[in-house]
Amino acid sequence: MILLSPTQARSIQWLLTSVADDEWIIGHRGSEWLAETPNLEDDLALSSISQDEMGHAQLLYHLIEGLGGPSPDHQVYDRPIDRWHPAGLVTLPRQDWAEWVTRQYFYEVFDEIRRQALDTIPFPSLSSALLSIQREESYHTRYVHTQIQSLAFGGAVAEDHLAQAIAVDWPFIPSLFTWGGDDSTWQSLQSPVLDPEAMKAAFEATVHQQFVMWNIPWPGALGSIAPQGRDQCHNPAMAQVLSEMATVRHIAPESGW
Amino acid sequence: MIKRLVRSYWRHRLDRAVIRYQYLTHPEVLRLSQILDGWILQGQYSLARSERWRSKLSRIGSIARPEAVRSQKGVNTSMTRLNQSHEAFIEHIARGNKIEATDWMPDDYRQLLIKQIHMHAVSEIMGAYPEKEWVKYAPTIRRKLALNAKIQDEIGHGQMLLRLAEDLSAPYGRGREALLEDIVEGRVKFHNVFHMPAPTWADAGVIGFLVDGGAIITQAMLLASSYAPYARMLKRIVAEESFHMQCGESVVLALASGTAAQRDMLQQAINRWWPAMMFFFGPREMGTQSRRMLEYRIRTMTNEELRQKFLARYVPRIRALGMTLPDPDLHRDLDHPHYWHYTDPDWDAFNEMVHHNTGPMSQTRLALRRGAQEGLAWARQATLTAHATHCDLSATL
Amino acid sequence: MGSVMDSPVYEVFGQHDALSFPTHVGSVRAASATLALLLARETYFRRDAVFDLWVVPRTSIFSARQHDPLMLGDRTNKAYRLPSGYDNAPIWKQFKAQAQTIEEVALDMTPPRRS
Repeated sequence: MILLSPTQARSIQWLLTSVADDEWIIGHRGSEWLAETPNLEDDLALSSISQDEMGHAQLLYHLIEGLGGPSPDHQVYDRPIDRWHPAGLVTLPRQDWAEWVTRQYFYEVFDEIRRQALDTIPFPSLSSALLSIQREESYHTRYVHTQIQSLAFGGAVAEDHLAQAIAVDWPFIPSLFTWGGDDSTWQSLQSPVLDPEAMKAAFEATVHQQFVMWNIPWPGALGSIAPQGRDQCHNPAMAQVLSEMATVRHIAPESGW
Repeated sequence: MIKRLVRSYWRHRLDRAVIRYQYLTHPEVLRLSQILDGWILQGQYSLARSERWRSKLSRIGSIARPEAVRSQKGVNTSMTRLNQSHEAFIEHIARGNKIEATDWMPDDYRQLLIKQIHMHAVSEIMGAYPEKEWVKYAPTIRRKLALNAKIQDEIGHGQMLLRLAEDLSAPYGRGREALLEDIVEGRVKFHNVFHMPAPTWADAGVIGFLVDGGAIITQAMLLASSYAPYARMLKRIVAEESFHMQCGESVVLALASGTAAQRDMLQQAINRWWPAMMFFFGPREMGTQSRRMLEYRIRTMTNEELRQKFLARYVPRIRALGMTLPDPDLHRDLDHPHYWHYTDPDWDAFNEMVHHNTGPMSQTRLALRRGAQEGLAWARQATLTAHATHCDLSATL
Repeated sequence: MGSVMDSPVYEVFGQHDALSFPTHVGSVRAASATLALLLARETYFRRDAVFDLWVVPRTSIFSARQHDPLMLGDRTNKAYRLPSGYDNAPIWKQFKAQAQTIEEVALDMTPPRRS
């Protein structure tokens, strides 16, 4: 077994926090659609996906705990906003249905690329976590593809909804590629695929190929990656999510719930 | 053939052979009796032995053979073979036979089933909304996941039950879209409890504890329903409800074990939900339709029997938690300790709320349902269009 | 509103493990078989792992109960087809040998543990 240096362990904590926060927040946002999707059957699939994402977050928060962090519940309920690092895309407040489908599609494409990058880190507990996550994610990808295809081939109204949704999400895509912390965090792990620019290129290639296949007009080059893409301090939507999440728990913070 | 059969048994031990006669049909038993008579007359068989045998035969003939026993073995006869009259139908189900979706059934049986299953499905769907209000506030990771899963199950139950109502409604040309539109058009009722506000986390817990508890009692009763697709589906639903029961009780037990603020929150929620729970099981005297449902064995217990089962289970448990119930008259009958006296809920007010969707939260929650049904009709249409025009969609996955 | 058509019904069958048969569990509405399969997974098997899952268009099912219920009815005596239609044990006993059952044979044939 390869021993991690303290610097690497700290770097992994940073990286895992961005991943876990993405998964938690997208699961939280997904659960806002409970009982409000177009079909009852879709509702079940969508709810499973949201539960999976929050479950993955829990798994990763556990890994962070193993590296010296607080318990998963503390990380979720007691962490101040300046230490949350989800991408701007996943924190967006709920909009229309097409935007949700599109957001999930972009996120799933990115998440797959990121998982492959993370899998190059020599940390066995992470590798086994990624393996169990992967089993569930393949369903997400298949399902989300059927959804976006329905929008792409679903007639003029659906195409309009899709075009608007892409226009909303596209500027937020670059927020996905940064990691929490500065560049030294991912660089210390010495795996070039963790480079935000590399992930961005892989993302663009995949989405471009699929958009061609589905006759979706290409929205143009992605914006540049802002180093502070995961800073949530000035994001009112994120502040609201965190305050809502803690409302009940903080009635009796030391008590069991 | 029977003669040969009987002789072969006779050649071995006739007494022991009787155990095999459970596979004989009733006419065959009668026929055997006649053959036996013939043998005795011909002097081939002693009267004493024949008496022993005959008594066994008659026992088989009267106990093991009737239709009810065979139907339990799955050899259920269909009403299509019987006289398609109301009386024959009642007799058919009274013998323990079950009805399938494609069987002949009286019109009012079908209509009662549609009414019952449609309302059951819609109550599951509308039941998702009050709990959903608390998902974003759920105080631990586990609670949040469990609440998501529970609401998902409710939508799932809604889906499974609606499928049954859709199949029953097929002769009227009504399917999924029509049955869901009925909700937003106010043409189908849903349970009174889901018209009520759930202002605290404890309400989410008490819904899981008391409302699901009440629903489980009703659904367990429906497992014996004469309509087989309903009874089958309820087996699955009841199994999932057992998770809801544990999940709701776990929330309530955590609050009851918590701080004064948590216990107070729980007490307030119990106070809020109690009268609605008394209404939940319906009036003391059942209406014409409910009585018809009993006659048809769609349901098998009265409103009052269900309410008493609920009281017997829940009053002692709530009191054991050190909580009180907002009913000064709630007590066991002195002469009949299994009977609980209780104060009537405001029947008129709850009835008005259920029939006209005028409860404190009725319209808010209906608006959410309308958003999915009407607001997202374009998305359902898109899926149909995409799959109709691109048969190869699956290939591109 | 009300102009959207209902999606077709697919009957769902699940097979729990390699040695069990697919069993009917319910139905879903979906715009295509592929979609039906994805939706059936989360509608009926979101808790349990499942070995295989089938979806069958409702219109492809031809039911005897619906089309020819007479074939399902009672039969004349078929005791000779049933193991309990035979009573060999006492006769074996007369020959001073022991009766046997298929369950005993099956048990006897459980593969031995080899290390």
